[in-house]
Amino acid sequence: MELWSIIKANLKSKKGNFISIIILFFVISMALSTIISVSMNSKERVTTACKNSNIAEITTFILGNNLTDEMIKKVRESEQVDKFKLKNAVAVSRFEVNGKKLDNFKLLTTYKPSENSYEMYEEDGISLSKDNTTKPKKGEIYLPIALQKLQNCNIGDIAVIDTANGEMQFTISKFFEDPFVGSSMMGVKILLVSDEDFDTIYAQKDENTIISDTIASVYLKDEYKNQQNEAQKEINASAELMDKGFYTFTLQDANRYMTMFVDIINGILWAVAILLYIIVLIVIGHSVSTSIDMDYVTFGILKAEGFTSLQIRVSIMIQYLLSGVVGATAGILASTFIIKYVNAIFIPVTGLCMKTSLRMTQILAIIAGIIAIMALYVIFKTKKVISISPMQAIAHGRGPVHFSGRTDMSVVSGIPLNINGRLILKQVLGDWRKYVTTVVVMALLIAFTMSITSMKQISKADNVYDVFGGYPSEIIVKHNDEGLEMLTSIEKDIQEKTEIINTFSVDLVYLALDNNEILCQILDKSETANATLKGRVPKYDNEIMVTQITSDAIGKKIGDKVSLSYNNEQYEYIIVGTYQDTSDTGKTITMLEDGFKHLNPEFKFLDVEYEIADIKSTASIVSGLKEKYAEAEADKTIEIIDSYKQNKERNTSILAAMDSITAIAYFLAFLFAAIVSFMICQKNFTKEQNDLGVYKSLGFTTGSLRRQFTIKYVLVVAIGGIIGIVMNIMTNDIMLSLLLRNMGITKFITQYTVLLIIGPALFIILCTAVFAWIVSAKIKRVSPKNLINE
Amino acid sequence: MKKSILKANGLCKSFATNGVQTHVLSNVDLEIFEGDFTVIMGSSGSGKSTLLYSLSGMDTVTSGEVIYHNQDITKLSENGMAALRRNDFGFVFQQMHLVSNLSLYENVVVPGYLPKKYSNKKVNEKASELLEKVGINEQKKRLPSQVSGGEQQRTCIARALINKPVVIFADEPTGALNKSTGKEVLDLLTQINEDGQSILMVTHDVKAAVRANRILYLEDGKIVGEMNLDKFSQDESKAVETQLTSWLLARGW
Repeated sequence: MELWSIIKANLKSKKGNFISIIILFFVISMALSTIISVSMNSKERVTTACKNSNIAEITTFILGNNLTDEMIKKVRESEQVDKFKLKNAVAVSRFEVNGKKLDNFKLLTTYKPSENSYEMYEEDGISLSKDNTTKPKKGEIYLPIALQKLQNCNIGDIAVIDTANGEMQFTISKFFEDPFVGSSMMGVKILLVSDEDFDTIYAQKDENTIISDTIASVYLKDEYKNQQNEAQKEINASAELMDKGFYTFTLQDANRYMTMFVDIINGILWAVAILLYIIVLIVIGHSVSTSIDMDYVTFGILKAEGFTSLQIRVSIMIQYLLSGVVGATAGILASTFIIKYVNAIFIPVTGLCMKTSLRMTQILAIIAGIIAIMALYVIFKTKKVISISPMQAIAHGRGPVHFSGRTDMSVVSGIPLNINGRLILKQVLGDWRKYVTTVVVMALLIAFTMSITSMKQISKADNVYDVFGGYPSEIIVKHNDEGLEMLTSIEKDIQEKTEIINTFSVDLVYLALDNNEILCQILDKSETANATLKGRVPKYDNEIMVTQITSDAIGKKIGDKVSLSYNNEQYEYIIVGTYQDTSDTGKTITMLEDGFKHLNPEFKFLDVEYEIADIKSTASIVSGLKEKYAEAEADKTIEIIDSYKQNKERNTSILAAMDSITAIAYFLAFLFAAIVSFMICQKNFTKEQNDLGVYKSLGFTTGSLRRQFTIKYVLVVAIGGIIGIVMNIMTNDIMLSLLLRNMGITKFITQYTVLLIIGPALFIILCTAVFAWIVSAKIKRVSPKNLINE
Repeated sequence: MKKSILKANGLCKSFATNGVQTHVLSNVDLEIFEGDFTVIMGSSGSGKSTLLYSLSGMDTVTSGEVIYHNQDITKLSENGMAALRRNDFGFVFQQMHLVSNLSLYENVVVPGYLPKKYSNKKVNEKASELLEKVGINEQKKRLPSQVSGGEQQRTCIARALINKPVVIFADEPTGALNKSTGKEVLDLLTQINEDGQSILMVTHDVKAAVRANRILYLEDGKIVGEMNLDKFSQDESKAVETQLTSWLLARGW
């Protein structure tokens, strides 16, 4: 009871301090509750939805007549296989909505809810409809929800495909949740049409526009369900199913890709939450130390009355514990409201309709853990209470503190500043130990906000290639053999408008590497290749380069040999270099055209890409070319594409989601910075109040004292800022490469601009200046006598 | 005829705590004269320190006026009061209140730089003189925490004198000191008063009070008695103390 009276009195008299702690814990708890719930809900959703949709453990998409009866028989006879189902589909060359073409591998098929049912979205694109059994009618098409943002389309819009007999139009009537390949991060998209329309399209299949496809679903026996990759290798070894396939996914891999973006963002937000928590602990430690110094006499009195050190320490700990619990509880409650908005950010990328419920068991366990750590830390920081002697504390207050004079300077020195300036410098240099916590906290905050700012570079289209890899071009000309002859003329037309910096060709194909599928980029020449991280680009036909992630995954490095196969052909290549590319989450290889001809002697490039000097003129150049070569485009001899626009639009959903998450991280960082600035200014003002009262009694004006206090803290934060900037420059690339590795980014290169370097520091300095000025208003309100005696 | 330097008319000071009003000073009228060593005495809680801080502008008043150089200083702006504290008033506190991270020397020069009346060099010289006068020139580079209470208090007196104030206000300057150290401080105050410095001091100590030439007695926020003391010799000090004590006791001390 007696302890509770002390706790209540302290909470009341220092409520500003504890309200700040409550807010800090509110922010962390809200962030963690949301992150944990979204992550777990996304994994649960993809598993449940795949189960409900009866998705097989292994799915291969096989084009044309590559699937033979012999293969089917061998698959069915495989030891691992329980069931093997086949479904007809068609791969369409063109799918366009509102003038935008879909880049992905597009498969049209029918909707059979009795075999594979999907959840349908309501018109709001956020909630699910109760009806998932209605099939598309003739003329209708169902699209995976991710395409709504990707294609910028809505229900009622018209989608167009090409057939051998001309265009076919469909009305978008529903968006559905495709838990298998519905994420915008995956290169395959399944589109659902009516049985009647499908039969019509299937009847028109050819080798260019409408290519027949089989969706081969392999259901494994229970004992092999957890060994999907191994089972895939075995089945391929006997039946060559995956070798013949255009794409193959195991359910585990597909689920991983589906939730990959959520995992990446959650990883970033976890890093944010942990860093903010470390800052909170530092601030709490500072707060506890300062409070003990200021309440020295009070503790002496309590000890004189018979309180033990343990009781006093526990009372201090309970104050912070209560603040933490209140803040955390409020944060958990707040997250119940924001989780649905966070889910809405992810839907365009994942395509999944995740639950909005909180994972209370896990949340409470983690929040309890961080509060327990905080409580233990507070108990640790209060150990100096043990050394307080009652009589000394009452009689003399805090024992004398001697300062080391090494960095001290005299106010009498010849520095050309007025007395206020010299007092500021003296306090910062002479009492530097007092400001260490402030400097450290501000350095961390500034380094952190710079990191968040640098992540926005990912979403700037101009930087995309530097970060994601790939080959920048503004204009692509697809051609057949006849169209090849027109290229010279097209190039001349482009050169009339702008300089052509680079001309190249790149093609993508899936090969088998040790019976695992891997995306291969085929280049026309060595000069086309992007810069390597290590080693060199391929020069000869038996050389490849791999991404660092691929190298780690296959356990092979520069100088090692790998065996690649394609369509029953096999060849051995040497790894000569590593590079960065985020395609297929960073698992790609690159070889030259001559190298690929060992696997496919008939291979030839069917497009040429142009990188031009005047990027801004791309749209007008493409428009002019389309006009001049309209006939050639009409009979499909050539196709002219504005790839600059296409590339910008390709990553729309991911970049939009990253923008949203970056904005959230920004908000958290700056809110934290503001609260921490306020707490530190408040605490330090209370500590310095006596001296400020003395200065006021000597004749310093209120204005000069407030300016002194404010400038001093601005200076301290500026020192923290410089340290934070240096810290960021030294660690940002490494840190973000680690955080974004799952995206395929193993070498993040920060592009430092004046804004990036100075912006966050300036914001935090401004916050400090404002709060220091506000907090020091007490100098004006309170008389010198009360400043000294309070 | 002595020149009046500070005059209080109808001075009232009240505090409100948790809705309860406490009247500390009630219509106090008094005058402070140039060259006087005036002491305010009274029992504990009589309002001595409150009166001192109200007269010196260190605290606000509830009503009344304090006239200094024909202006009511209770109506002055913040900057106006700061100017008074810089140029005209000096303070000596019971708890010294030296700035802890400034050396004794720096504690004296800093207020000297403020008025910008003299060059820094002149201020520095003046500070050294004062520290020599108060007898702590050899310790001037030390921090307050590194010297005794008496040495700190003597530094405070030097600090109060740096800008040649019209009057020095001293609140129980020997309250935190032992007997011998207290005597040193009182000797110093007596000496500077003899040099012409006007001093207004609050004390409850009779031995300190007899250093004054004028004693005001405060009871329940009002001045209820005034006594003038002539100069006396060392031999007469006991008798004077006894006389003063009787006078105080008669007024309820």
